[in-house]
Amino acid sequence: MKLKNKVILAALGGITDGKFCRKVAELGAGAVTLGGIDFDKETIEASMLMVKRGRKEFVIELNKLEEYIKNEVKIIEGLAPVLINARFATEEGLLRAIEISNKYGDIIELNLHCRQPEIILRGGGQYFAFYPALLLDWLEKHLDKVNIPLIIKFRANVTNELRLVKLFKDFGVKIFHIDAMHPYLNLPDINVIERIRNQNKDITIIGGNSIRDIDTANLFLRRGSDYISIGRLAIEDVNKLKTIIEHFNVERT
Amino acid sequence: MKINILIPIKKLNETKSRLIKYLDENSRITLTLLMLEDILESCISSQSINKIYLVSYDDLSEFKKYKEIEILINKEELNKALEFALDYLRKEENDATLVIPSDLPLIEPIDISNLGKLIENYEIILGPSCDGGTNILMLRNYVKINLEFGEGKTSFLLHLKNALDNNYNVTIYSNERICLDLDDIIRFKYFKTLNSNKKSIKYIKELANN
Repeated sequence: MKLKNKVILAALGGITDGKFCRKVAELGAGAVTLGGIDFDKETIEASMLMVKRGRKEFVIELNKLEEYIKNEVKIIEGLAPVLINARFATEEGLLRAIEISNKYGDIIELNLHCRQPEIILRGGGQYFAFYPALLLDWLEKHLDKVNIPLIIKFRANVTNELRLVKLFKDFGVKIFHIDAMHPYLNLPDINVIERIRNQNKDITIIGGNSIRDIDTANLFLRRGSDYISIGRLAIEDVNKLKTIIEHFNVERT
Repeated sequence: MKINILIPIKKLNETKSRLIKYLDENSRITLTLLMLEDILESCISSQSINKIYLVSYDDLSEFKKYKEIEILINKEELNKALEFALDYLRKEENDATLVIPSDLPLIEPIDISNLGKLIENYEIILGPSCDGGTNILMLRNYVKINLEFGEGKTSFLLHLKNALDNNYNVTIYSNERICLDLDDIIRFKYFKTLNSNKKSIKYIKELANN
């Protein structure tokens, strides 16, 4: 995976739609993420419950999903590669995510990251980080159907991340998006990126968590990330985001 | 916030039954008690804890030396014994109770302290075990859900469902220390490889070398 800029816009539930992604793509981001998008009735049901308790989520009916993604991607067309962050809890959901992402996306990102209890209860998001066997079984059957780069996104410090990377790497996954969430501080746990990099020279790492300035971004890159992902800052301070994106323009440096 | 810890202890001569083929009864009992000591040390060294309750079939007189510990004798099956203990604690001065299994020796004071902070914003905290069980159940004092602990049960999802069905504000706390209880020979062998000062891990290494 080669991008023109080191900065990737991360998925923000209910926020990073085509229009939002376009704004960040126009700033020069290396790639932007649409989603998280739910690809089966289980995760859609979970999102509906999450919206009910006040969270922002994309709730798209299954029969309108393909059209929705097609239209949202069209808004960003030509500006930056589009990652589709896929939430699913079933094999059917995974297959749907692969099929639609192949058609309209540039990269598919499988979500093992979402920690919302409604998603985990249905066997999606972080459930796969706790219990990866089922997803590995599905990937063994379906990985050859994926025609675009595939990313596994997970949160650090919730399970043995070295083991998790190894399991998916053994099944042919080469790109990992690691949310370097610190176990108890409001700071990123950069060491986790370094630990994973030291044992996996052959993977691409997208690292992120609380990146709000060039120094933190550089720290991620020095400690083993190939790319950095930024989420909240895109809502909080677009000018800061622009400064970071401009700094990490690969073509410029 | 006043937080109590509740640790259920199985009948000692039936402890670690999945290791029967590999360890004799005395070794299994010693291992169980050392794991319990490791957990207690983590709990006692954490600032956030008010008191620790052991709900046990056996007398466990050796643990009476700890002034922070109270032993509740109950000879019922696990869920009933826990319900009895939780009811007892609801009557005590107590804001929240953290239920930890007795075979979670890797738990650290930082976990207890993290959980103590988290419960200020939630009503229930759940932590999954690596085989689908529940290794952390933390409840505000007024919270009541059906307990689903038991051999071979995927109690983590059942507890999560019970919490959401009752509209409780729930979150998940997880890391490798929390996921790894010592329940079978695979984990026994894994624990043997760990570089740790925990008494139970040292004992596992001893057992493995003999």
